[in-house]
Amino acid sequence: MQIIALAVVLQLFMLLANQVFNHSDAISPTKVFYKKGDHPGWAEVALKDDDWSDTQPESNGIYWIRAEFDLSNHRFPDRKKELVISVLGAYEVYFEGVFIGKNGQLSSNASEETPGYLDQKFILPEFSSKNGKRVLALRISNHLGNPAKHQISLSIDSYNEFYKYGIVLSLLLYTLAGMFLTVALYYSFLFFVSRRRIGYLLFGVFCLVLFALIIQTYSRYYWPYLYPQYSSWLMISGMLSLLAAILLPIFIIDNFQPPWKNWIIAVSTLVVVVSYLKFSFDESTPLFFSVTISTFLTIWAIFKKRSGSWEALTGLLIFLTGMMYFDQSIFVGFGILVMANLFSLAVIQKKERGDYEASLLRSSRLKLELLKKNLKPHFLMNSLTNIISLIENEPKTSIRLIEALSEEFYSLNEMTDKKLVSLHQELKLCDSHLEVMGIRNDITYEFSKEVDSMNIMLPPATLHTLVENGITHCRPLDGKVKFDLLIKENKAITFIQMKVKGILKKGKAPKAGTGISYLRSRLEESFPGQWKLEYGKLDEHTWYTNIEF
Amino acid sequence: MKILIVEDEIHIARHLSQTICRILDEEAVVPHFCISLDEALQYISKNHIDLLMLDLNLNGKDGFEVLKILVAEPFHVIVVSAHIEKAIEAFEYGVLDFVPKPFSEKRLRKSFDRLTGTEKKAPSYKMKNFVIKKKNKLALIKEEDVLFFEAYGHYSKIHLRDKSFEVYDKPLIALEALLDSRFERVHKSYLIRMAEIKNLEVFPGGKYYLELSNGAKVKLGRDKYKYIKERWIG
Repeated sequence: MQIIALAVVLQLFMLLANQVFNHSDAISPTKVFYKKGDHPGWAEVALKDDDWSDTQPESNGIYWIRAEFDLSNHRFPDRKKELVISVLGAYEVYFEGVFIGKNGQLSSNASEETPGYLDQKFILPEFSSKNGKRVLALRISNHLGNPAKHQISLSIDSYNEFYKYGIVLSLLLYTLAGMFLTVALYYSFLFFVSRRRIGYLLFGVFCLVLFALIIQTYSRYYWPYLYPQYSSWLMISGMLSLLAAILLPIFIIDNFQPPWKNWIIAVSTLVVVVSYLKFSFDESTPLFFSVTISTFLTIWAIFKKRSGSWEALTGLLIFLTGMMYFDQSIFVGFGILVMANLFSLAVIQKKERGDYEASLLRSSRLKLELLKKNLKPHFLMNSLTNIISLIENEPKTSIRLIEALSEEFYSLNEMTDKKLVSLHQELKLCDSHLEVMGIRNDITYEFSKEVDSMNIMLPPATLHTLVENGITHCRPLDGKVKFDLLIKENKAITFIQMKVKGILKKGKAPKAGTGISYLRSRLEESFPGQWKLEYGKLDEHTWYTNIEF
Repeated sequence: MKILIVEDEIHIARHLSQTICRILDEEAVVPHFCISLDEALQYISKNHIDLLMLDLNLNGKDGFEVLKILVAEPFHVIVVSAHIEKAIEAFEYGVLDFVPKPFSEKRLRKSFDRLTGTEKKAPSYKMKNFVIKKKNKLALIKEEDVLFFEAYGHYSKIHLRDKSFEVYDKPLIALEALLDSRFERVHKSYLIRMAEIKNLEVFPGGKYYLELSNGAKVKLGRDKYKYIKERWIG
């Protein structure tokens, strides 16, 4: 519910932001023509330009641009105006046939050209700012750049509006950049200082890339650069977008841990990179693929009921909507995406914290359970009562019982703080327990062991629990209860089988009691998700328990 | 005295029976041993016993379900168990005593004193329910609903506040051992809840009656008159 509300609010914010950023004072030319070559008369207002081309020349050399503006419907006809030009090259500007300024020094050969700035503005002379049709002519040489890579931009705007607009825009977006930087630093610290979870680093780097992208994009308003640097500028922003596009799905994958995650990472990275190369270094296409892949992964996560998945999806969908505009709002979209992911991370962290605390709790509970196993009154007090009785009647047996009991306590005491114990320790514990119970119940317990390797480590009191269960549920058959232990070690798998031969009390199979649930908890603690436990009747007098880990 | 000892560990069973023999006159004791509850229930259905010494929580079967069956029988039940956390609950169902393991002769002697009535139960071990057999089923009567008990051959009648009564399988003397000091024997046939006495009526010829809160009248023994009057009515 809150997620939907959040989505609606953020979406409204996006629309609003888009409205604010929509700069509507500037007017564009009604037509633009190009012609390779050079002639002083081409600046004339009355020139017939029917034979001019309407596509930008893609070769280096001198060429002209002629553009027509209709100032009659400008919003503020009385304001002082300026011309904003973004062209690759060094050029001279003619307005209504009059030379009004130049950018760099043009020349017919490359060595003599002084490059101009990519973005440049010229104040329009007062006399020509009356309403109506106006003609602009540019004489350009572009020996030092690749003209194919840049779309010419010409506009007439109220005086200083272009930079004012740019500064306000930069201001707003740098606030956002600050947020990205903070988040980037926080997650990097989180990665280095606390737990080295790769997801934290990915998120940190993702935010850092977004930070850099914003800083770079809006630096043009206060840090003009010469046009030959345009291709490197373009390269940097392309690489940054590509990096962001690659990182986003990886981050999502690391977050929700789908199966074959390495494969998915490889495929998504490939798709993003190929789309970048294929669509001639356009920044939006790889991002679109990246977000689409991420969205599908997140929808999968929702089906799998992963925590944080709804929050992530909300962010991605809002971002996808923002992509449609692909201007400033894309950064706002990024902001929302990062916020949604922060929220999603917070949800995941909360869950992890809960899981961690639960595991701590389980560990201490298991420790306690192990202690209680032998301190529980049923065992301890009955053993003591036996000792009292035996002292009176069979003093020698009573000594044996006391010895076996102390051995059992020593073994258990050694195990209390451990999550895994050696097979040797465990068998010692079982032997002493069988000795104690043998004396107490006056029953012969046989314990045969067929063990591959003594190097096996297992959770404390694993076999002890099985022996205990056997003692509780079996009466002697032909004067004895037999325990058969089989342990096989095969590469990564340890197989333990305990068979108990005797008369099952009440003739039926015992249910899963506290002993079995203790075992399950222990196995889960030591081999999370990688163990098996099964038990059942082999024949009328044999009960088995199999454990694998 | 026929005593049934239910205990799955033979050394403990032997020690228990030895200790009982020392407390009571050795020849008066006829012990029988069972190692499981099922076995014990079978034995009880065929044999008369006077006392059951029970190790509660045998083989994980729900101890209290079995305990309910046992306390509805005419004999007394003494639980001998290491599960002392169950003591209060056991008392609530009406066991005569709960002896923790390991037990001493001294502690067991106290149980037997309670059996013979020489020792009264402390009120902290209150009985909460009387388990009675009703049409072959077990029913629980809440202790606070009971006003007085009346001897009824080998059984007793439990008289309730609403003037109805139920038959209980234990004789009055056995009941007396189970109850705490809020109940007193006022006549050879009556055991009453003293707090419920409303009035003492004296009839010519030295006949005394106690009127209880629900209007029921109970005979007061001539030998008890003076004690009851001083202690409870004043």
